[in-house]
Amino acid sequence: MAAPVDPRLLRLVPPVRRLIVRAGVAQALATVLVLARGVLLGWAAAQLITGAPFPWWTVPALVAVVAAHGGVAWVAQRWSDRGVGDTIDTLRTRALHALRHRDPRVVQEESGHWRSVLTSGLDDFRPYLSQFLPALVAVTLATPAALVVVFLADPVSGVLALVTVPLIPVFMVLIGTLTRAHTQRRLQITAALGGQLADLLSGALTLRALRATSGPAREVEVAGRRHADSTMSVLRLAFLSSFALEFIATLSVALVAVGIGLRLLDGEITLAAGLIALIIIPEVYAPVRQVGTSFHAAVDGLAAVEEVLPLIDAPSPTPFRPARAAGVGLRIEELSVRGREGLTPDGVSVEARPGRVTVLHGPNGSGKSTVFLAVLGVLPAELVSGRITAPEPELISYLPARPVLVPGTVATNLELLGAPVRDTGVDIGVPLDRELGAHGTGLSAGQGQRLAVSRTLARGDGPRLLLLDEPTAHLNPELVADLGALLRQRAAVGDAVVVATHDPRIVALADEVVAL
Amino acid sequence: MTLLRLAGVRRRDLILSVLAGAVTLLAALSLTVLSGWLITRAWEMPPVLDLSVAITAVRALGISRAVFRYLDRLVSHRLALNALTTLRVRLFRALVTDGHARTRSSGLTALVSDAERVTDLIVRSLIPRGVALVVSVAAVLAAGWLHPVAGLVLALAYLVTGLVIPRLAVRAARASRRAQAHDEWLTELDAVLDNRVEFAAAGLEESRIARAAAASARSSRAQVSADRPLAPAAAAEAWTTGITVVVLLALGAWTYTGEPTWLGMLIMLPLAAFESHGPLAAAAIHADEAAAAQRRLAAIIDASPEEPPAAEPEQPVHLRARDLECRWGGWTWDLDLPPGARRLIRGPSGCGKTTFLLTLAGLLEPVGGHLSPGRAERRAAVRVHTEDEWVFATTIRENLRVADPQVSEEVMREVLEAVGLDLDPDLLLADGAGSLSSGQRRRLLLARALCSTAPVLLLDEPTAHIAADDAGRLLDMLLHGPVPGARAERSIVVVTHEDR
Repeated sequence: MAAPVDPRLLRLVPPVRRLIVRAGVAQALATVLVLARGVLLGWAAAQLITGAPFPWWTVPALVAVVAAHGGVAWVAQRWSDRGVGDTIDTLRTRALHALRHRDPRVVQEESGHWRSVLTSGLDDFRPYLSQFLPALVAVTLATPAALVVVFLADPVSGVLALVTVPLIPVFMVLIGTLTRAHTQRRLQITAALGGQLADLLSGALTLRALRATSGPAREVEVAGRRHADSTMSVLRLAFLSSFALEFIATLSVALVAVGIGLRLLDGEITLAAGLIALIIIPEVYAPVRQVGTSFHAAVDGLAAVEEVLPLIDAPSPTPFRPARAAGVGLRIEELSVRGREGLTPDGVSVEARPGRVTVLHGPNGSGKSTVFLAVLGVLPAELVSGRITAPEPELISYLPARPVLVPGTVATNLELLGAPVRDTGVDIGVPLDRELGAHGTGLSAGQGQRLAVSRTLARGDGPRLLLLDEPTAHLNPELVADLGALLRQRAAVGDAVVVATHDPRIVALADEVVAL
Repeated sequence: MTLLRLAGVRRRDLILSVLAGAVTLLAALSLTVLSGWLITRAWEMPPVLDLSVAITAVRALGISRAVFRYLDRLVSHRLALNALTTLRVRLFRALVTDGHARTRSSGLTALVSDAERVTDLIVRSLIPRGVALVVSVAAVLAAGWLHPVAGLVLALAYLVTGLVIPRLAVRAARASRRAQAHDEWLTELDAVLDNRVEFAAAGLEESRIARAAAASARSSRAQVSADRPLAPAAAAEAWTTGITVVVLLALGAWTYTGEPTWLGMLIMLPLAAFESHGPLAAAAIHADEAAAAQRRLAAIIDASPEEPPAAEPEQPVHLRARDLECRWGGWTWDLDLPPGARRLIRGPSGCGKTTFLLTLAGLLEPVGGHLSPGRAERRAAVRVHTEDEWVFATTIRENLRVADPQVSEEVMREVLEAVGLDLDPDLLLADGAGSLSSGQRRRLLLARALCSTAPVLLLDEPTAHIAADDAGRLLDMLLHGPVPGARAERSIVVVTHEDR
């Protein structure tokens, strides 16, 4: 990311703009208050020392300044909390809508990736919003304002600060560049060792069950030591840039103090000017420090956003929509769909008429499921060629290869797709009030499959087009036979039944088999 | 702290790190106070020699802070990494030693990240707290030396920044963890990511996405409301530090005796006195999170004997179970398995088949009934291969060797062919099980089981995810045929699901 704030973030995620504006307002107020506090403090103390009567009014004035500062901090924190929440929420929602138009095959393949990007990935983005962005705002507001006050009080100190502030980023970047190659090499080693350790620890129970423990235990120890050593060598370099920051900032403050002292000795400046400059000078460097300390957490957190931004920025592809015809028949002519492995399917034609069971038969990866996706109109048009004439969407019932099971009762899951719980001739084998966990825990794979088949067959009244992807998965032989009979029966009452399967028992009862 | 004891960290190791950190911040504090002295003294226009020590000291402090900071970070991180190494080895030894009832790998990742918390606990919690304590005491003493009331005021202010504000931060962090635990966003996201087409086909895609968006908004709101204590904490920090400055100024004005350097030091002191308290909020959160982690780790590590018992020789055994009750599943089991016998157990899921196998193998204690021979003999002779067995991120060959480090090339080739895994033994599985399809994974695990030299094999769902005809052939081989691999004559128990 070249700019400190990705312009796409500002353009696509409005809450970020509000977050920045509010951070600016709060920072401007806080800056004024902190500078007022320093000036009042230095001036009042100088009055007292130089023998003038102490200006007692400064005490209530300072109390008011402090009270206001706390109030600003309170409001700024709430603004920040809400702004961060809104930003994350907007990113998540936009990503959901964008993923919806993507090729479902790719989305499913990458679902683990998107799951982590849209949960923990975006959580890691919070420090960027809550710490790094406000620190950037502070550098642009508080640092120049403090510089101006120092200049007004004591121009010599002002010049010194003006010269040293830019040195900090220059040195940090310089050190970062010089050590980058070495650091990355060490980081790779560290990551590899970390992976090896995690692998051994995750396999500990397997090693225990198989009684293979002494060798791996030594490996954990050796890899652990090397991991510690290589992490330290990364840190020795990583801490150098913060050393540069601390070094320049602290030494500058010390040099300003010495300079003021020497000029006071010669009577070149007043005590008030000297004290004010001394009190304000750390405020010049504080925001720069803040940027430095929040930088690494912020950069780590950007990874997820850099995945989400291109996703929501890209124009959504037009979906391929089949032509509609009355009835429940399906006609597919010369359908080809481009995928990662070339054209699957490649030029397939299917004619599925009501009253018949049509089977798409072929090995894994031959594109059986993709045919269904094309019929359902969820593939991007640019990937699809050929012609499909399908019934109206309300007349299609679809069973995917991995049907959805949500936490809740069996009945909740049966009603999930909008059809009421009814007898479809499929025995699920468990009571309707059985509670399921995430991904159908609490049911066997076979019971889950029967639930999904029953749910699919329950949809709608009258003849329908049934698209069933591997309906016999996880079913034992008797149940496969029952399901076969049920499908024949559905065909007999006017449904057009299309089954994608490599199960020979279903192929045997088909009226028509299309080989892929 | 239990976690420190588990990680083998001694108190004096911490003291060194705390001192290194305290020196850093004391350098910063002295720099500020001494600058105040220098400027007010210079205003009195003494001979320049009177200032030369102070000038040199200010310059030296300006340099030393950065140097000490660099060193103290290295010291504390080294300590933390060594602690992590020790803790990891202890955790691993405890996990691979019999004596705990943990049998599922699913919680292991959490346990590993529990161990990793020890670095945060040391670097971000214990050391900053120790440093804050040392620096605070020094600052209160310095303030008290300037004026007793100043010492008292500073001590009171430290109570707020050191105790009240960290407590608010912990409260927010706990609320935020609670909010995340009840987050429906992940469930709704899963439904949309994995099952979008199914919902679309039912005309429910819009409403499902709307539901997910609503869950996201709810989780955001829960997080924002969990963060609520952070606002008063931020305000309290500004008020406490600010009021200390004002009070010390007023105190200085009230009791001023005409000593410029005294006032210079008194007004500069509070400006740098609170730096050591900055990390205390995060420190409290880390300590709070480590508390649960150390309970979990102690439960495992303290329960395990230091040394694993010596391995027994592998002798063929006659395995007998009568009225056996296991830890999970309400069934009682009977089994008679003479050497060389084969058995197939079918049952619905949730009836405790896996637990039964683990009990047979001596990895879990039975709850009731009779089981012979004794546990040590069973541990030696019986190997259980569970469904969630780990595939290591190494070559296929090394994964087979887990079962028997001495397994020969011929045996490996033979079993790989027998289970139908047509892959080069040198193939590197960079992602562990993630580098294989679920069918390939099952075949590899079956091949591994067959490489073992144990006379009794207990196989949990060995043919799941394998196409029906091939699965039938493999099951037939395991139940009836001579088995390939290290031992042709062996007892085998196969457990499968009723739906298969």
